[in-house]
Amino acid sequence: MKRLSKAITVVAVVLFVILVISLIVVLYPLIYEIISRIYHRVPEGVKDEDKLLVLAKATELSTLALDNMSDIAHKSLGTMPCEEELEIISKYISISKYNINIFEEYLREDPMIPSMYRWRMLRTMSKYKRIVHTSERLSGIVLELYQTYKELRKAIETREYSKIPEITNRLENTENVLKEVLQNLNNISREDLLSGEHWRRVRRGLENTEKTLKEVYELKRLSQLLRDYPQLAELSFQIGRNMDDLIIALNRNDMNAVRRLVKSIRRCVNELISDEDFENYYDKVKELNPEYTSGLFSYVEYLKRGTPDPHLVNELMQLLDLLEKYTRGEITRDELIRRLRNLEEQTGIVGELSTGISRAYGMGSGATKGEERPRD
Amino acid sequence: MDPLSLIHFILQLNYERLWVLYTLPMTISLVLVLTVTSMRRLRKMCKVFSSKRGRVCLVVLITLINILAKIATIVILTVLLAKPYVYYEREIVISREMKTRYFSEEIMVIMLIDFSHSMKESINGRTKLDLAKEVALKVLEELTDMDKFHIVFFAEELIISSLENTSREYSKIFIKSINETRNYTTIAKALSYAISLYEIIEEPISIIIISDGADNSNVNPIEVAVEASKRGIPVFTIFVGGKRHRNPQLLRSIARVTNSTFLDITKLHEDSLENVIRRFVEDVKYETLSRRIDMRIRVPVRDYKTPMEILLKYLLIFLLVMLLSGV
Repeated sequence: MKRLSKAITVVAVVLFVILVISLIVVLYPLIYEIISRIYHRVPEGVKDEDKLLVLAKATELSTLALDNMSDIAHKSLGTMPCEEELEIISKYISISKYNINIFEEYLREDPMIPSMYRWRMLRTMSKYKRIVHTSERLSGIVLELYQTYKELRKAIETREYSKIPEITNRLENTENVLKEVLQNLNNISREDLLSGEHWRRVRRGLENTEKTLKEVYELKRLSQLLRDYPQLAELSFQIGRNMDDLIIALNRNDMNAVRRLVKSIRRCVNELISDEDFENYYDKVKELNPEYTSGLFSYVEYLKRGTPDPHLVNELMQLLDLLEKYTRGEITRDELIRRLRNLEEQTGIVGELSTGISRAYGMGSGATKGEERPRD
Repeated sequence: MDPLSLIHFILQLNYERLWVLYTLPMTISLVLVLTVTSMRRLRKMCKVFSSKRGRVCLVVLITLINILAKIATIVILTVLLAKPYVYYEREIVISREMKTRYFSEEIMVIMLIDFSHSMKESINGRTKLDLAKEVALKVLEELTDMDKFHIVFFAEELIISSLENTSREYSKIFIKSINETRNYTTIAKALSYAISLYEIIEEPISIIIISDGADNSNVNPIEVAVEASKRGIPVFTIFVGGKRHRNPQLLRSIARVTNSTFLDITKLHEDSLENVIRRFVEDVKYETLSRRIDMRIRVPVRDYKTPMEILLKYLLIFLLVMLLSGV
């Protein structure tokens, strides 16, 4: 019995050793990565590699990564980034990082290098390191940028304003990262880099990042507006959309639709102007730049069009009164157009709406058969 | 999920690191050996029972439960290490953001460019016609080589490019060749002509109107746009501005009734023009294709989360059983 238990123990120990070995085999990639991260181990053979090749890999790939990554980051506002492209660029980043480290090591350790050259090259390498770091930062926000933009668009489409605060936070974080990236790139000058092509790539990266920042900033402002005034934004959007529909209805002589739309616009305008935050809201809407809001261009246009100037609310109401009178048959079309012409001088939506309506009647249905058409 | 379903579920899984599973028999045998060695301890503990039969039964029962729990724990741990996933195909609708999925599909873009006298009006030192032509060229640039183009200059009469040659290069040359302006703006006439091509052209059609909107024809363009909408043809509009002759609202309405995009380039800065036109072209492609082709696709999905959640839950249960049976 004793022999048996001894034999069992021996077998158990042997099997345990096998288990440990197999676990090491299973976890080898993870262990290897941890060790290589700690020690930055230089693989055999690379040490003998031509130093110029190392330098070329470090500088070419780092600037290429920046150029491509900044472009992808800019396009990610509205376009799903291509996974293969991201993978290739992340390889560029890791290869250039690795080669920069090797070259720096060589610069520090080789006693034959003249000290002036050493310090100059070390400074240059620190700039390329900064470029790699910048590309890494950009690659870290690409997917976040895409997701945030997509979610903002979806939240606007589905009117899920409860999601807006979180989206705003994310946009603010992204904006900070982009500012940091921009600051990093602004500190790099032509003299710091080894070739004109590298400089052009850095410039392109800078320009793309500036554009991205501009758009992120604008989206953040839109998001903040929706977070702070969701109801007012909804009203503005409704007014903007209804104004378009109103002109189409007038153009098609659909008086029922005109009546309904005038009523709806009046209700929305009254609700909008009765809000105590309306003036602040108006100022914020006025500051928005639709052209930098990517695919949300039309939405922001509607917001702007649908937010009447607080000083022109009376004129807008006057215009709606006119239209109501017209639908009730109290004034003729000619009278309507004549009175609209007076309002055309106004700015903002009053002027635009008046022009739109009078032109809607001036064109097509306005010029009757046989009548001399005005030549343009 | 009962234990039998769990076994079935594990057997149905796919693994990213399949080779990890090869260590499974070895680890199970190890567990068995270790359990056998620890049975002595259990035997001592069971000496409190007077009946031998009762002792044997208890030892066998506890050992069995313990072995099963250990094996199950080891199996689940190994399966988790092998990174299991559930593979299935999900149907999704291609969204606007998935540009790579739809942008290479072919469409026919019919570009209607206003060359009435009002387009001679000068804004910032250049005529509206020049601006319209520049925008048209930019739009052409953003589309792909696969796409086909048909250019129509409209005023009282229409000057059309050849339908035999729909290449981008020919269209560019054609656009550059028109420099004179004519009488009257007849958007409806141009639009009717473009819609009439619907029957002859096989590709999904998209219409882009570039104008100042100052229409003075007898026909209402919005009625024609409604006809286009009924046929599923999107009509995109680009407003090029103007002081005396301008009607952005008409162009806006045309885009609205066809559920398309209106673009006012007078409100754009030089630096954003390219970007906005790129987005506009993406809209053109997406809207045109989504009305004519099925935008639903089946995509393969690898779900790592579901197996992990289920297996972790069972792992905890088996660990608990193993500890309580304590062999």
